[in-house]
Amino acid sequence: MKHIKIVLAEDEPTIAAAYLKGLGFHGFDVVLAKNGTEALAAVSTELPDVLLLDIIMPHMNGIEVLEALRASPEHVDLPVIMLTNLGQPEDAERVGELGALAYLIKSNLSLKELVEHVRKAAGLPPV
Amino acid sequence: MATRNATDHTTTEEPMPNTINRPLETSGISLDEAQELVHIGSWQWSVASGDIAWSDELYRIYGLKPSKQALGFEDFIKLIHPDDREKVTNIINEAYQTKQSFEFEHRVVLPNKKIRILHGKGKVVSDANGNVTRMLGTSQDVTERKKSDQALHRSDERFSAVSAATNDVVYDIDLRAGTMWFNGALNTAYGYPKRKAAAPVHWRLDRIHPEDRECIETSIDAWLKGRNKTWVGEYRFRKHDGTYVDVRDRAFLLRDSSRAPIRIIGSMLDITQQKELERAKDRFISLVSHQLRTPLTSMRLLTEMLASGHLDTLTAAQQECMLQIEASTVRMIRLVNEILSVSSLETGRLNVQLVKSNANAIIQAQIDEVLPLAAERKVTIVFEPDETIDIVTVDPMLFSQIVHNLLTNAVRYSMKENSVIKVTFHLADNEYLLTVSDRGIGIPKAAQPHIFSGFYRANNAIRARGDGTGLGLYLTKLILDMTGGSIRFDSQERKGSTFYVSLPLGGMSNKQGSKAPA
Repeated sequence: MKHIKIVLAEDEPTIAAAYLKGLGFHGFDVVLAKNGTEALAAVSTELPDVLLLDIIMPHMNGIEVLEALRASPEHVDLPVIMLTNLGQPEDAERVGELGALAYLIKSNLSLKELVEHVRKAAGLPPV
Repeated sequence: MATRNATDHTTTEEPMPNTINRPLETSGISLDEAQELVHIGSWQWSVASGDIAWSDELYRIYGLKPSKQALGFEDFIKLIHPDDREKVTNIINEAYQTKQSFEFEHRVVLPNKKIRILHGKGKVVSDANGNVTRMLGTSQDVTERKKSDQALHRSDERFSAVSAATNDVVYDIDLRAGTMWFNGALNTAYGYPKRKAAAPVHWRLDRIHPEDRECIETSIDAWLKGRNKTWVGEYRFRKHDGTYVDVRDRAFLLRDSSRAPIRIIGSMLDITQQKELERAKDRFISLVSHQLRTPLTSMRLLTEMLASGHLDTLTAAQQECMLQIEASTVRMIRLVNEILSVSSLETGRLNVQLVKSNANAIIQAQIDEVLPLAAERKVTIVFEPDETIDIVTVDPMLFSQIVHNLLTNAVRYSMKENSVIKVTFHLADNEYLLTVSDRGIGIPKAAQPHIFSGFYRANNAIRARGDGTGLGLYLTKLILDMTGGSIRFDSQERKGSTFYVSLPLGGMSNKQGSKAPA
């Protein structure tokens, strides 16, 4: 299987730890960014295949990060999956306009389902 | 006293007509007949003789038989209510002195002891030398009119007192004049200068928040055209200082005999505090729920990993425990989700997004989603779509939630293994009908009136499964209420239930904001 690199932008340590472990177990290479500015930097240095982007984060929120990425030519097509526990219809609409592949409620998502979303975003067939 | 003055007077310059019952030349009816028609009696008092001539109608007004015999002043005074005798004597006396016309009211006691109120008018006639020769006048029974005047006055007084006592703004709209009156609360509660004159009827509408105005005007127009007497609306109303208050406006419509609306009386209750409490409750629920989701997310992921043996091999007992923790976590997540849905539905914050959708595909997708649960319970789901139904306007998320709630109930409360859940979607009598039938535990008769209440669970449902939230059917009904649909059911305990969801042919609609009149 092609080695898939993920940048995970997540400021909540327990969720970040669970995702790192779970996605790592499924063979993904995961780099953690703890806030919006770190996420933007990590995208430039790590050149991930997929960005998992939390919305509520210090410094820069997920929507601002996504806006910045879409404004820069190198990252305009980067596959982005939004992860949140807020679930605001306005946010879902906005990130859809910005070309996010999905807007997912973290608590409603099993690890298996998240893996499927990442594989789809990376252009891999479902397991 | 008038009588003494009158008898002292001896000069009569004018010949006095011997009767007051002359034919009315123009109409051809007698004066007596005319008086009888209008219930006005007349009298004439000759100063020279001291006699008072009464018309027939005047006798009748006093409850007496008409007579040609003239009365003396003392005879007349005896007919007056004892408390009014002095007043009447004084008025006549004064008129005699001043030679001014007069008008007064007094009570009389009829022979049957009944008290009536009479309204009298009179004038004084003098000769060329200025000597009073006679006095004449009319008298009318105004008892009924006085009673209704008094009743009206008391009712007016009550209305003014209530208007003054309440903190609510009270208004009274005259639809024909296009004006409206406000009580003092407009000044005390909303800071507007006290007004002496009525305001034009658009005055209030002009102060409704621009975002609320159209909806309120439409609602009022519909009310005026309809049959309801009362109307209730909520809107933001601008105070004199430019800030807004939340207002609940209740109005009552008065119509004339041809049912045309003529008057609206209403009150505007300041519900800002109540609204703020609701918003605070809403914020609180939202905050708590979202905060709960974070630890639940990591619990769910970590137990899932542990249970699947990704990290280390577990003993069968350990794995059993892990699966139970995972199931509990998922249940708690579901509870949080449902509380959030209820909160957003109840506060009307829900965003209904209507999309022309393939309803059959949505139903199928929901069936696919519950298949694992169905397999676990060893029940089969059979879907019989009506293939002729192509596209239906729905909010796909809300429609999915309705189907999901009904399906999971059907699966979770199925009684026996190998039972079949039947789902249909078809056109019936001018509506779309979704049915979900199960052969489950059914709903006991006593529980049937309550199953759409929030957090309610029937006893047999609690016995069958401990993990329900009691929010599924409540949510389903809330969604349907808000989107123009409806839900009903047939159920028999231990036999099963069938739920019927109806959607109008136009599909779902957005019912928010259009508050129906009470």
